[in-house]
Amino acid sequence: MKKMNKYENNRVGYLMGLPYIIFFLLFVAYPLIFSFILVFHKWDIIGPMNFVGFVNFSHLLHDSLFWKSLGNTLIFLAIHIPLQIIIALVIANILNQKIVARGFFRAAFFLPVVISGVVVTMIWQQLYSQETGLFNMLLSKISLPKIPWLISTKLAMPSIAIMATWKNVGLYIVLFLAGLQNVPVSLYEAADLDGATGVQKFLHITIPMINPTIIMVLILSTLGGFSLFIEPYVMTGGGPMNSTLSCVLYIYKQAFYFNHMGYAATLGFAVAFIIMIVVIIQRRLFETEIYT
Amino acid sequence: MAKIVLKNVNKIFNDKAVGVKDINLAVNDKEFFVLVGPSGCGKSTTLRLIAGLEKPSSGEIYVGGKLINDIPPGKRDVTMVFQDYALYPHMTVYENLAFPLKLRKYKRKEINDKVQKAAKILGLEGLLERKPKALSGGQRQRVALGRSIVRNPKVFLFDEPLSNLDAKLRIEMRAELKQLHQRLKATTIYVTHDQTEAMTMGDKICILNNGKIQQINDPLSLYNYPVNKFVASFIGTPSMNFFEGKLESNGTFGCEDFSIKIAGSAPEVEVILGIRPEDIYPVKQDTDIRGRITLVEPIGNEIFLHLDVGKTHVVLRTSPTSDFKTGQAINLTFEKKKFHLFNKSEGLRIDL
Ligand SMILES: Nc1ncnc2c1ncn2[C@@H]1O[C@H](COP(=O)(O)OP(=O)(O)OP(=O)(O)O)[C@@H](O)[C@H]1O
Ligand SMILES: [Mg+2]
Repeated sequence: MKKMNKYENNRVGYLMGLPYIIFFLLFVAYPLIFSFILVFHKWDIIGPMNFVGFVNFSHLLHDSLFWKSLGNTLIFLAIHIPLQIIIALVIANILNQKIVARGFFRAAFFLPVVISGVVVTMIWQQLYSQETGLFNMLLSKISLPKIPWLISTKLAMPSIAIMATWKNVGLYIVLFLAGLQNVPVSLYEAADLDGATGVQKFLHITIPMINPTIIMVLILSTLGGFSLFIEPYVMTGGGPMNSTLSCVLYIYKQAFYFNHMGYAATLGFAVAFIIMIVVIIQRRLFETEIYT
Repeated sequence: MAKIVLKNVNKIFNDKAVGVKDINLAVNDKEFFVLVGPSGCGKSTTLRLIAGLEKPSSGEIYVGGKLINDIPPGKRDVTMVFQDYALYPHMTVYENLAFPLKLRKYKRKEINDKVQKAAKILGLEGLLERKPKALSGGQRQRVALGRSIVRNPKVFLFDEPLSNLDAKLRIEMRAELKQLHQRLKATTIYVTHDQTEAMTMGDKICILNNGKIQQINDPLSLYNYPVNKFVASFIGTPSMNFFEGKLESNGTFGCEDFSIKIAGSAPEVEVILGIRPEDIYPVKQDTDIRGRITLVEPIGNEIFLHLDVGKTHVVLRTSPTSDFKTGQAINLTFEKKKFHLFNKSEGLRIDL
């Protein structure tokens, strides 16, 4: 009788979990397994799947456009991550102090995070526009040369990185604010008495004490950065001369322009593997113990 | 020379919460000065004002004759040991001790010498490579002390530094701190809410209540001549006993349950009579003062007797040789000349 009861209880538990289990099977497990199978096939969606073994892999190794997209993505990360962390940290530090209208600023910085990426990109496309864009108009006003934000192959990716930073920085400000609030006030007071300046307190107390938050932000923005897609898709289509072709945009093009489903799946797994390596290296380099 | 002087210092938080009110005090060079009082009386606030962690709302603070109101904490030559120690958790013990020296741009060798010397004084030699997390409470306490003494400051401030330690360690550290003070001879202000700590450690004690100074004096003077009822009840364990009553012109104190002659003559006023537990004796013969024992607390070398004298709760200390039982009725007498009188309206001391 008792056993029966226990079983009943369990059944309710599973029932509660069912929506998520269905979701997981349908939208996570199934695509994952299916794309792993795809890796060893050639498939154009319409026709039948042909088993090709490791052909997709050898193709990947010699696909210079893929390596270029990877390079582009790394350039994006190299600008976007440091910029994002530094700006978020500085602003969070300011917002953590007693300033007027603190609540307003906290909300204001968070706003771009909740706006659709497509909308943000379209607004920035206009800001960056060569002749009619706000940035270049302002530059002309003060008699400076115009900057070919999205036209130059050298500047297009940095321009996208700046925009992505503007969009995401609010989220990381919030995370840093939470981290900063966990640092005991008495540490700053002890440092005051020890004779530390504001900058010294920031370097010797704040930074080491919020290391876990920094690592989290680093990893989140690495993951976010590797999935760079909407911005170049809407803004530049990957150009000029493939200089803003990101990994995910390239995968998307392989899959839905050229219908190379098997190859696109292979690229997907390759990128996931590279992200894992990058994150492992980041943690090795930057992670310390947790102190708070 | 590091005499500390506070002149009419007030601290009001956010224009409403009173931290301290009109504080006037002087701490002499090399003195061990104790601030004591109940929770929320403004002890920490006073200390933080001297350290520079709070700005006074009004008033002046001098160290060594110099007005320091506008000098930042790091430049005051003042160091503070916090209640929670505030050790830097990401630094080793060595780095914790070296940090204030590093910030002051000492040479590496000089830093090492000073750190090693402080570590030796405090018995931290074997722990220098550890992080604070791997230390016991007593060891952390020592590191916090070490971080203060490496700088060789003129003024030491302690905010309840022993309150996180167990009773035995607290007594050990009490003696150690006192010895350290004798050795370093720096002006020290020590905050505690424990009156035993205050009495045993202080050259001078300042009693605070509700942000106001009640009395400043050496421990024995405080004990023997409390200026008001608050000080009288705060200093001494068990607390002083109080009886509400009236003085007669013939020098007799009378209350509901007894009357007792205490002076040749006196003004006729309503008063509170205070008498310490050790100044009340149980006696065999009949007296005017009778009590019924409600609790017997044997301490070892003495006994605390809790009694009801009429409606008043009384505690007395006596030798453990006598045999007492709960419920027993006993006769009491008071030690002559050991009375404390306070007026009923404000609780201020009256000397006859
Ligand atoms: N930052 C602050 N803002 C507002 N009020 C404060 C602040 N700091 C202290 N106070 C108030 O000032 C009064 C004195 O506080 P303080 O911390 O000096 O007490 P304390 O004697 O150290 O007490 P404790 O023994 O509990 O540490 C208290 O009523 C407290 O509520
Ligand atoms: Mg306090």
